Amino acid sequence: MSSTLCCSFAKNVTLRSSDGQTFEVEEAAAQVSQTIKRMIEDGCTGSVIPVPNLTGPVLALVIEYFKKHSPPSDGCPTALLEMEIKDWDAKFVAVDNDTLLDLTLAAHYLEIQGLLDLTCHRVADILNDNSVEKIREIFHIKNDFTPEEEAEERSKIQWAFE
Amino acid sequence: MEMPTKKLLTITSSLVQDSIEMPTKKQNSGDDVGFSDLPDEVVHHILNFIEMRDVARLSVVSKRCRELCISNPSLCLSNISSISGGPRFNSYVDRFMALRCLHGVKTERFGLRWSFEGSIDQDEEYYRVETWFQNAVNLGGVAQVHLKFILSSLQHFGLPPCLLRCNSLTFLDVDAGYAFLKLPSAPPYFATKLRTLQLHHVQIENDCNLGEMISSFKSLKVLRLDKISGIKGMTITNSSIEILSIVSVDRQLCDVEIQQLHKLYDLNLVWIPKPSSRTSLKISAPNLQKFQWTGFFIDDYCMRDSPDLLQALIGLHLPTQSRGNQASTKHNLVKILHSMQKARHLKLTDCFVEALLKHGCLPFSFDSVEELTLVRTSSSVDQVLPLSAILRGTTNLKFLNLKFINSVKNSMPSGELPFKMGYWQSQNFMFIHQLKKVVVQLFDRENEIELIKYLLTNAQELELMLIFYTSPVSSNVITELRKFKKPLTKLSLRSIIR
Repeated sequence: MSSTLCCSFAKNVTLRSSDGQTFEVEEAAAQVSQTIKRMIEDGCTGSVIPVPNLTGPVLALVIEYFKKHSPPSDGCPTALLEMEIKDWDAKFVAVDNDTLLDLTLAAHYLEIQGLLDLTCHRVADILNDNSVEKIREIFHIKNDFTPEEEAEERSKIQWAFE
Repeated sequence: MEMPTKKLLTITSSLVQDSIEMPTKKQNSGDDVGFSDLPDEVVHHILNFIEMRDVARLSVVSKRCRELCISNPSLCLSNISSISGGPRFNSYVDRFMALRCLHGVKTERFGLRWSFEGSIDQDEEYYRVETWFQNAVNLGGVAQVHLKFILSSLQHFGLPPCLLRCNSLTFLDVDAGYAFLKLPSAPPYFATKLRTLQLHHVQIENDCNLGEMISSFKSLKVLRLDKISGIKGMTITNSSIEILSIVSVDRQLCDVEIQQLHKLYDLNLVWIPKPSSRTSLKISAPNLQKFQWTGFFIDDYCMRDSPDLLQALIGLHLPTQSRGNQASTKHNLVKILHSMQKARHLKLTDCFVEALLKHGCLPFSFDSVEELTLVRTSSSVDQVLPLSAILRGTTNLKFLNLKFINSVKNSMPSGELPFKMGYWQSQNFMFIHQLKKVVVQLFDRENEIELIKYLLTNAQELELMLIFYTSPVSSNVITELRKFKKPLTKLSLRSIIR
């Protein structure tokens, strides 16, 4: 197409993960994260922005999310985009449980409300679908109740197990 | 700690041995990131997506889980799903609320979705629910309340009085499922910090003065009355209101008066009065910027102070058989047009534009309009003549958007010949040289394709022509369109699913 020149002058920023990997990403896309947005506003753009709480693979995933969720540049009605993005989101969080928790933490640290809602919703679905024992196993939660305590707790909410 | 009722005192005292270590601490479990590594506020956020039953189950997983289930500042109680409800569930909530009380957990956001339908003693159950509110309000800090009641029809209910006195409350959303709302009879009762009030599906009792109740909220900025019924007239006088939405579909409402709302900038009105009743709408909002009005036409319309609207969305239906005289209908239509004269963004339905045309109100000069959206709501209305009548007045148009609402059925071939490109050419539209962007959802294909061809050929500054189609466009047509377009124009076709 002849008249699209919106992307050629877009500014980029470089993000560095805890293990030293660097990623270049459009500034507008990275501002999906409130944390990064603030850093850019404070003038961090010239140098590399450190993201010490995220490992390379997790940061790479987050950047995928940035790209999909950066503000659209053409006049496409948002309702249509939203449907497409919703599908994409559902696939994006269909990951293994450890990665899911990594992404949740990343969303929290980088203040990406959309991603935080998405991952928390997914974690909630897993909690809904699984037994107490299974939940402990999936999310590495140590059972610190004594058998007597646990039996008592369970007896109080018998209705919830029916 | 102040306990609101005797009943709770007994429950709580039996729970003292349940002592829980608060506040919570993280526990590390090796190198893997586990649930235990999530900060409290993240776990609380996760809990907001979980039903009460699963919250209860989660509290058996570990001590920290149990603590977090109780300490969530956002609380949502519901007996509406099939898996919760009944006496055992109710006493669980009693205990749960008592534990929160015991540990001084402040409730910032309180959601309650409660059905009284299966309950044996509704008054007793309502008292119980009120007690939970009392519990939360007494600890302070309640800012947001979402309330959804399901009552059997024709029931009366009152808002928990403690809520209306709660001085930390900023947001209240009530869905009453078409029950009657009883309001406390005497002031002073009201939350002075309330900024947003939303009432849905509420019947207002005849003797109750809704306007008076609303005007007692001195900080109110957003008021949404969604499908309220039972009242004949309402007068809204709160000078603090910035956003107002009234949706009335029960046909009883006859008079709406919006008095001296100096801060009001966004007004949405959906109003379907009884065809036989005499209706009046008086608006005095000097700083109104955005006005959306759909429903039926009103007999007396008065917009005082002529605000400078930036956006107007008008989707009015006029009665097919005109009652009263044509002259007064025309007079009112012209008044509406005048109040939109300075709008930059105009969105009109085909039915309204057709009515304007029929009553001889078009062409009308919309010098300020930069963005025009025409929405097709009916397949029986002819689109071409109303559209071209409107376009003759929009001399500074930059963005044209033609769309249809999903419920309209394509009534394919009409048998009539489409308006050719030459028809549009002959209109000599003033805006054509500064038009920048066009978005068209193809509906009545042949007519629209001719219009698109005309625009592609003549709009020198056109940057984007975006076409949405529900059934594929033949490659011949696409090739043809490409030939018409200017080098500057980006032509893009996308499919949409209806």
